[in-house]
Amino acid sequence: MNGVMVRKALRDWQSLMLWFSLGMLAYILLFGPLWHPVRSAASAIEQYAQAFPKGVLAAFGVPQSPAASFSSFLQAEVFGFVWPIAAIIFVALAGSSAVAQELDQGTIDIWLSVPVSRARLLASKLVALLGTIVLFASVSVLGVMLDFLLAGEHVSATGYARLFLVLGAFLLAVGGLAVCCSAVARTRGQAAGIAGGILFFMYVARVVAELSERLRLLRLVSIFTPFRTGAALAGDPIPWLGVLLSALLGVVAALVALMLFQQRDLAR
Amino acid sequence: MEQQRPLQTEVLTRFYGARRGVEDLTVTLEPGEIFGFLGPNGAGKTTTIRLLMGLLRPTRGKARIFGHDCWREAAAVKRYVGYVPGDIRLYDHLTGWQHIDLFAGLRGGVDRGRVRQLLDRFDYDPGPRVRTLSTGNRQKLVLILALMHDPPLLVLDEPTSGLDPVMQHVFVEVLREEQARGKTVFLSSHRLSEVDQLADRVGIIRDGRLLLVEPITTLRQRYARRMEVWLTAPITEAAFADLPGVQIIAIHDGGRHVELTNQGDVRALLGRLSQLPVRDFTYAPPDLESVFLAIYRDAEAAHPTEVQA
Repeated sequence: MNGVMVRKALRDWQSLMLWFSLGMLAYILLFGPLWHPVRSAASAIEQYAQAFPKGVLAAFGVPQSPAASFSSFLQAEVFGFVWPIAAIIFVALAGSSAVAQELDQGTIDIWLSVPVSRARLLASKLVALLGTIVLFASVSVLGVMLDFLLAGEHVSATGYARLFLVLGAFLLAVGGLAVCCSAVARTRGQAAGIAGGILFFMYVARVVAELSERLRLLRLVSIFTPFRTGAALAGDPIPWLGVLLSALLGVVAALVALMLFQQRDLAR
Repeated sequence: MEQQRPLQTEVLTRFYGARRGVEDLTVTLEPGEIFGFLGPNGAGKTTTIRLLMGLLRPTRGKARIFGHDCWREAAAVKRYVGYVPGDIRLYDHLTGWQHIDLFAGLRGGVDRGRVRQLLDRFDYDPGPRVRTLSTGNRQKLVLILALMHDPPLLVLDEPTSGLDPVMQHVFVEVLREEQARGKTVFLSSHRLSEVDQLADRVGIIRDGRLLLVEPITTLRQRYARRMEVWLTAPITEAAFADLPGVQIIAIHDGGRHVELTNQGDVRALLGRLSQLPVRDFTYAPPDLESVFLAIYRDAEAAHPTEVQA
């Protein structure tokens, strides 16, 4: 790792970090004040949710009883669809730029003209990416904490810690995949496209696995399967092995990226 | 002492699929020399340099810089090298200072005094963001980045493209001073005048193959020099027909103005001129351009450019 490179990467991503984090915080904070009207209409909302086909609810990550608790409500409104999409865009944009953007913009020659190995240079960007992931997950958890205060509900510190771990593992997996794609792609767009394709496949796999008993095994190939924020907050059981595997996927993908980039022939 | 050679390649070869980038390039640079690497666009100069900088993996053969393998020990190699890429791309959102700080930080041990000296020398203001800079100013910044850590070897790919004539002159001066301080320079260029002024030896590359490596003085002597003669009375081609190495290029003004080239003994030619009604004459110094073109013509005649898949 190289401190100068870490600082450079953080500076490159600072506006991306700032706007995505602030935007997400603002979005999350919309739902605390809404909880009381929603709770008072809980039975109507439950009926309304039941009217939807199971596939639609699964596709948008909406629990069977979205108004049963504030945790379920946040799962339905924030973490079911909008948060994962925003997080994927944010982390994939940053991660996919790690190598592919240097190639894309032609700065790879000057970037690699220093007496620091390629693996160390990329590892420094990975550390910076980890910093952005921690920040984004922390801001999201902070938003949820403020929402609970605004809604007058309570969750234990363990609940927040569990939420942080679930969000962090998801972001790690996305970041690792994006950097891995960046290490082999020729352009940033190509890297983001490949990473996006893989994540879209995982998303569809989770939806299909929830709809079809026959294809249930597909849930094992998706990082969306252990992404159960409502359960994390409420203290309900979570597939911790899945959370761990998501984080591990990110770490392994990052290590593969380091190996591939160290040996990559950089023909134009 | 073989290990300490600043730069050495052995049958260095790189193919892009079936297309040849460079093939069997063998060359050794001695400490303190400026080596001019000449060739037209697409001849393989940039491929060679990117192999030296560890950006490309050789198909076969080796390149070493101060004994370190350019591919396997690329990071170690960069300790010794100041590099100017052919295609200058910098971080547009950073200023010149930020570039200097970034690369000084990544390299370590950069003397700020030397940086200030280079800024003055190249008359470069590092304040503005790179996106606002002209091509010439970007080129100056890259030259400063390549020189600021005082490397023993400079690998320069078209280093003056974009520089105005004044700055080209400064660049030539700086390079001569670096050479006087014992630095070695691998200078790739298609600007023949620049190589002519600076290089001790020249390598000429064509279609990825090294045609020759020779001291520039030997190279000049090997090829014909151009002469123009003005006479008070007309002459014919027969006046020089028996002189070996003399070739008439053109006769103008009814035989009163003759253009010729001489590759033979200049004393025989001067003796003949003394017998003719010569009013004036010019005898051009051997310039690299005519040498280069002659070598290329000879090579083209011997092996017409191969069309590769």
